[in-house]
Amino acid sequence: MAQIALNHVTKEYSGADIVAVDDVSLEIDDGEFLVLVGPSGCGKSTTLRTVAGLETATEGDVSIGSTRVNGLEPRDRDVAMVFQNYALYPHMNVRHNIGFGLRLATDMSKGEIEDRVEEAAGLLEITDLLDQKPKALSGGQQQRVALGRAIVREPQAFLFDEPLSNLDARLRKQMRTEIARIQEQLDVTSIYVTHDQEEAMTMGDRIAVMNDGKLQQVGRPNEVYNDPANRFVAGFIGSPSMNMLESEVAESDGNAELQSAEDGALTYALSAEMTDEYALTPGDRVTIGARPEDVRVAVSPDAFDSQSHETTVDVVEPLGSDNLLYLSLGETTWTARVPPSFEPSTGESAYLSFPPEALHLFDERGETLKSRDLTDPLTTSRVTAAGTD
Amino acid sequence: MSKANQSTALPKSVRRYGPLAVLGLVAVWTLVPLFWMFLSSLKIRRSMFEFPPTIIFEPTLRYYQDMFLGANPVTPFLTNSVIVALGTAVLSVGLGTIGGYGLSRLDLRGKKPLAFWIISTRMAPIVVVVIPLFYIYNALNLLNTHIGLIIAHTTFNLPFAIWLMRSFFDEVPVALEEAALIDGATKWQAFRKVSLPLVLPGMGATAIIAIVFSWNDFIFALIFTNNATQTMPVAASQLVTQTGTLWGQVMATGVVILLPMVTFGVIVKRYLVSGLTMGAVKQ
Repeated sequence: MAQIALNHVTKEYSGADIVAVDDVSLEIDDGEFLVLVGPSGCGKSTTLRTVAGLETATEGDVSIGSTRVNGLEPRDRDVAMVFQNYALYPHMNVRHNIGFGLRLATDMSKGEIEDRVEEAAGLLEITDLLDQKPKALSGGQQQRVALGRAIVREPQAFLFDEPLSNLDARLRKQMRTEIARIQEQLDVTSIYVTHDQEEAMTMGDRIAVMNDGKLQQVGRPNEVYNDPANRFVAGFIGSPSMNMLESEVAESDGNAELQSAEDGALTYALSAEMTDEYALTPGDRVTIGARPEDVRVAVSPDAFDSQSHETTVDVVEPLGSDNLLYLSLGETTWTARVPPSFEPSTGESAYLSFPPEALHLFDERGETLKSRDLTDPLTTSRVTAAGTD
Repeated sequence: MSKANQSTALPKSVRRYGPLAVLGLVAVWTLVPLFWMFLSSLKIRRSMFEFPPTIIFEPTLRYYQDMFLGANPVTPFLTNSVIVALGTAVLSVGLGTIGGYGLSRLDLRGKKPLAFWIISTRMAPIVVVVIPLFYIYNALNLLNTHIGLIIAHTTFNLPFAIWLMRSFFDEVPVALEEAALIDGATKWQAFRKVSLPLVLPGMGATAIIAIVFSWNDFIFALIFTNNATQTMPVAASQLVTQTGTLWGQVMATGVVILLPMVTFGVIVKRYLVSGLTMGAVKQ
């Protein structure tokens, strides 16, 4: 087990003038589960392959433990990798697939290898499949064998390259828990690449969000969710995505307010403290953001203490546990997650509201000005109450 | 199915029996001469030219006897044919596998033109290269040797072997080799223990094609061999003598040339089909 460090790693493909990974620095602690997440083509897989040694970094250093591994062949890096398409050797049975690395790269005896294979198979509950060929296995079973091949070697690090994206939804969730369990049990440093933000949120000790080859933000899942570093992260993490609206700071009767840029569909009054804190001056272009779970909807504006905005209900999507409402706000559509009991009909007009503490603001470059304020007013008041009592 | 489609469709009986009729015709076209050759090889010379030919007659093995036990037995020529065919197969498959792997895996600039150049060498007719090759062989003392003929046959088989093997390697996901590399394999081990076993059917198919070409080749063998290194097709041609054609011997030699290929073909049929389609079908 070891720490993995990437130090200003850049990967360029000279032939195509593509910068796949752009100056990424990242440290993964010993035993940590780090999820690299981002849309397709963001450079996350290339980053992982650079750690594995399947790609060479154009610039920068990669180290595993105390060793700088830049010039080392994959086999000398002591890492194990699980591939998206499992990459099981079709001509070998499960036993030989799992034991392949041990047979090839260690001087272990046949008996020792056999024991290690059995042990790994036991951990993954695939002991009865050991004599099957990969072709005879289901996708989930193949994935378990691929995991077995990784854990049997007891490597310094696990590298996962979208290992669950070929599985169906139910199996994916099951394997998600399984991988997290095994990683915790074995306590091996792991890098897990996925494009699925839900996988990232649920599995990672920390999440590293990438876009266009650049690292956008690294942090614990809740940190990234509540306090996204920029507009991209805010939109990428969370499902459904954060609602956003371009706006401009304006002044009305001496009070600052945000006016949606294109159609004036929304005017959001700003408190004096907020204007001061974020140094907003009239004419500033600011993006308003609010998560669907923070957007409240009611048929009448009287239902809210804070300011509300009129909209029309476009679509109602029942999820069972919640209803998702798609609301048209000028030319944009906002999403709100509401209790299942609230089920307005399509075309009906409704009012939406989001409290100032739930408001996200991004500047013109997309950098975060203001994040969700996590101090729960209820908890605060309760604490205060307890204190005064 | 739409109405238009139904109205233009052929009657059911034609759809069912049409293909069978065509296949039957091709089979007759191909098999009747071979069958006639086989029958003739068992007939005495006089009844060979009867018309209509007799199907039921008293067979004779004298031509076969003559061929193997007579004054000029064909056994050495048969041996030559086997040596040259096997040598060609080994060289073509070996080099074709390496070349095909390179073309499939290497990230080369100008890979496409290179691949085309390789296959384009196969487009020249054999007769065009025979004379220059003769001079080269003469200078290198390769005339009248087995290895000379093997090299000539390999030269003509290799482009096809490389292309065929490339398509087989293209079917093997690169991730398999990457998995092996991470598992602790060297590049050579990843090739030998993972990719190579997966293209075995392809190597089999390539070998068969090389053997068939070499076994049937007449023109290279005619120009580059002498009495000691002659292959079967050349030996057969020498049965056309100044005093006449030894039809019985020609027919028997034809059967002897054909028989190993047919036997071989039947044995490896399944292998060959799976090999040739494996390269074409995406999984």
